[in-house]
Amino acid sequence: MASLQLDALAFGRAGKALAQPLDLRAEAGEVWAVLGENGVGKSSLLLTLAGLLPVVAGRVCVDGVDIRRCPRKLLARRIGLLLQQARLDFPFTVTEAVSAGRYAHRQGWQALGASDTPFIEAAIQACGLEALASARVDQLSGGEQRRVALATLLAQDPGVLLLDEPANHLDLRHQARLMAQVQTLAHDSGRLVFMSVHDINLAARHADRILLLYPDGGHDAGPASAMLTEEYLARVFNHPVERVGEGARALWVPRSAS
Amino acid sequence: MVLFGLALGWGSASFNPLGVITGDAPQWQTAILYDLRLPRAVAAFVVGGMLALAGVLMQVLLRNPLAEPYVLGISGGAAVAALGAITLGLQAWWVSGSAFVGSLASMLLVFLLGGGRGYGRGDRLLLTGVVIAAGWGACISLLLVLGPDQSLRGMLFWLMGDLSRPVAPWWGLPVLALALLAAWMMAPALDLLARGDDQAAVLGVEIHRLRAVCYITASFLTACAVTLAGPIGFVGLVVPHLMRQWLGAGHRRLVPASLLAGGALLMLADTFARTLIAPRQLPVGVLTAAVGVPLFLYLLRRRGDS
Repeated sequence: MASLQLDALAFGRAGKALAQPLDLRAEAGEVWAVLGENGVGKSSLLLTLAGLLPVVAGRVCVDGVDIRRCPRKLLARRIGLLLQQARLDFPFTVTEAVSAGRYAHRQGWQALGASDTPFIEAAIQACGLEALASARVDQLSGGEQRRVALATLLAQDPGVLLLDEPANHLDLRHQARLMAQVQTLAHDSGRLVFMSVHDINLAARHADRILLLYPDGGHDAGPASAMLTEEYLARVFNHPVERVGEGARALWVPRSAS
Repeated sequence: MVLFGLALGWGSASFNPLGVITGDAPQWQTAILYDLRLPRAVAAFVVGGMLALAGVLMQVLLRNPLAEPYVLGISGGAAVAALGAITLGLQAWWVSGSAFVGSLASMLLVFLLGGGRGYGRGDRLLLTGVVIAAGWGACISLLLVLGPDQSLRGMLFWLMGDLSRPVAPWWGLPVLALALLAAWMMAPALDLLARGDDQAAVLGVEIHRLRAVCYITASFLTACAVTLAGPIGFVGLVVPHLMRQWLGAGHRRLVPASLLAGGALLMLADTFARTLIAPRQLPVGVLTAAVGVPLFLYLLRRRGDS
């Protein structure tokens, strides 16, 4: 079963920690949302968890294995990341681009095998890219490229899925589809989803557990119901917020300045 | 194959090359074919293939489909070393040797200054290469001014890229075959690296190792090509670009296709260079530039429009 464990993790860029050391355990079947202002370190945290930024101090374990001791290819089978920006300048087709997700599942020099095809087709279908399958990725729009990146991650099929601002650039329809997919992946397929968002309502509606990153470097984590209070959120965003409506239809809105 | 036959058959002295093979040709025709045209056609193919393959690798490395080996200043280093050897009046062998050492040294310089750790290295590498290439350009001007008058013509010809020198291009064939094998093995990983360092790394590529192998292979190929024929531009740039438009970006197909097309293109260009104003010969670098520059500008414009 997929799991993610942070032991006194200090993360940041160029060896400088952005927040106080973080202890956290996330298990398969959970959807986590990281909430925080821009620049507070949401992306840095995800990049560190994926092994793209060096750990400043402490330890990250995926499925009980320290990521620093894990070769890239093995790591890629355990944990995947949807990057916030992915530029595609080369004229790959959508199918070719999505196939890249299968790299970690075969020998480096081998071409795609028959066993990869169902994963690729399922990923393309899940992201609604069937009609674009043979289109060139460098000629797609930003939102379409984002869906290609997401399909690549689905074809990669890791146990832990890190999503950096997954809803950005997506049309409403695809956003809703993506969030439904996130729920299915975690609750039905036993994956662990860990995503950074800056929209409270997105987190409130779709996350089971929430990590709050405060501007002063502090943080709190816990079940969504406990974390989403006016008190906590005002501290995260440095601005008072209030809840409008009741139950599942409740919305969080910023209190007007006056 | 057709172009190969053409390269053998066409020249300032016309005769039927088939006659040589069947054995009923005069001595001088056999000599021209085996000692002049055959090595030259092989050299053209090898150099063209090397440059095109190096171009493919460097375009992935810099993640810019418009990059080419010369952008990184490798040929500049080779040229400075070679011109230095000519200025000192050394033998042709020494000139080739210096070119080889110069290109590898230049590669090392760019790699050490522009490499380092951290992400977004592609752009830094490119800029470092461009700046170093400009520096080499200044050194070349200095050497041309300081050089003795009698060697000036030879120096200029060297700078323009010219296939009339190679005596024994045969060693280039195994080098090219090895590089092709390496690039073919790396092809799936190259597909990923083309999408950026971070993306490739999260998909399971050991990018530092791949980048190093890629850079060394590309630099070595460029060094060999420069040693054989001097700096010939635009083959490494135009050929992979055309092949990518035609076959797509997948490196399994792109790598061998570019190598073959690069070899064929340079063989054709060299045949023209020998025959257009025969019996005088044009430097082949002039011809590839004449074809390459307009074609490249056209491709660049079309890319901007789409």
